[in-house]
Amino acid sequence: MTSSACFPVTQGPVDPETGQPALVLNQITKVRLADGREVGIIDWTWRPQYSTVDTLSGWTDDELRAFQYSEGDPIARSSNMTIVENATLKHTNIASPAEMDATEEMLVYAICTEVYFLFEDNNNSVIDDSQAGQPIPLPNNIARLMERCIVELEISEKAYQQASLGWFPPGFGPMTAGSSDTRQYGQHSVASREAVDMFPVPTHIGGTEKFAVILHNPNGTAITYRTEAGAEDADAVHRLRFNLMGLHKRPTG
Amino acid sequence: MAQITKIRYADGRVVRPGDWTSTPLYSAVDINSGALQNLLAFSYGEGGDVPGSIAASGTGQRVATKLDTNMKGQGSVLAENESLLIYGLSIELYQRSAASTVDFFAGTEALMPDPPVVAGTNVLRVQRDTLVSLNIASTKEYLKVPLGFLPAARGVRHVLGSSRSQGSGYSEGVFIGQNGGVSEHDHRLLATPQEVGAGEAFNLQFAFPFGSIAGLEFGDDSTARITARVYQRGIRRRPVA
Repeated sequence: MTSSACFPVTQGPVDPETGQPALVLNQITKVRLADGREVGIIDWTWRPQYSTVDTLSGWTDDELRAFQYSEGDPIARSSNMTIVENATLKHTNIASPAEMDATEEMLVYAICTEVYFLFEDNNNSVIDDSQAGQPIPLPNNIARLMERCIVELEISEKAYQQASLGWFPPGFGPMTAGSSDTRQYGQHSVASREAVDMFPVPTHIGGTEKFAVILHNPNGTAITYRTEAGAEDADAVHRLRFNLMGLHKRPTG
Repeated sequence: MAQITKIRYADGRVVRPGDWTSTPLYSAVDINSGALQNLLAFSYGEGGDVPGSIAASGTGQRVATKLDTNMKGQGSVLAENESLLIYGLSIELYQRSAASTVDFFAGTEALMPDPPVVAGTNVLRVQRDTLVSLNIASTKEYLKVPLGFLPAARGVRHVLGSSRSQGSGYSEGVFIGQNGGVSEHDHRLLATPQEVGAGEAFNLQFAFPFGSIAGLEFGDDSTARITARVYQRGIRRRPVA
């Protein structure tokens, strides 16, 4: 379950120039789904699709839905936020809100979640990252989100992947080290590709199919972000960017 | 590239995994610092009581939500329209506390990070004194291992300051723990997968051979628990509609 085997390498005949067997990278040309359907891989690329959700300390929403907006729209956020960003390419790259574009398809092999620590600056009406150590989160707040939130990939109103936020690490990020006398630093798992569980059975999203990544807060109780001393940090924002990792089909023209 | 379309079991049976997904089934139990009975994960569904827990009111047990389990029905039995192939199990540990997050250890062990992060000493105590066994079809024990044998393989990677502490005016360092490494790379795959068929009874038992976990430190908070949330790793068949 640690390898996607998406682009398997095989050993070819001996290369006369090097005297060594050549290693051949095999492109996928066809994917056979579990139900027997076959999908020809033409015009497919390993291109993540991503969408961002902002949450402010104390948020109580039962669920927040990513992939429901495209560029220019207000991004998904908890209902207690007063400052709302309009989506740019840093928030999302999907073409059609809430559904796969009619000319696109996706085979999802993993959900990779980036976590960023920001703050709501009401004086300047911006969401900023200018406090010490930001946007790297504190470990206790990442753990809090892992314990309290369930992430779900929903396609055509059916739940597919469903597990705690901890289940879906980004698999990349700054590989930090050393120590500081001012604060701790936390990361969602390790900043390595090997941190990610690639689904043994990928999930297919067809053209025009409705889909969302849902951040559930099943108890509906306040998720309060805290300083490392345990005090409430009322302006703290945690921004989650969900990346659907896998093969993405887009039109060539 | 081809997906698995046929699986042949050791006894020769062949199943065709139409509509199989890799979404895990999960279930939680709560571990306290006093005397402990066996706790059974996967023994309840949403709306049931979480084994070992205590309700926020202090009376009765916590009612399970989607945070605790995604099992349907009464628990202990897999739904008639589902099947599991268990390639491994992952156990996350979380500190649960109703008390103030400051001075959680009341000076006796000033190494406590802000819950739900678990103290390293407590993780080691749980790993030392907890056995986990997978029971399928009620009577057969398919796996019996110390809890630490089944790492979470995900969690928070910490970079700690040299003088950061939760407990004592920031004069001491925090000491955090995880159940194993925090990367998928740290996951343990079973050499042979275990099958749970439709309608079959199964559970995961947390047993405490010494009757308790010696030294488990929750300070003055008698309602504190360590939540162990266990995930089935592998593939799972669910209805399409």
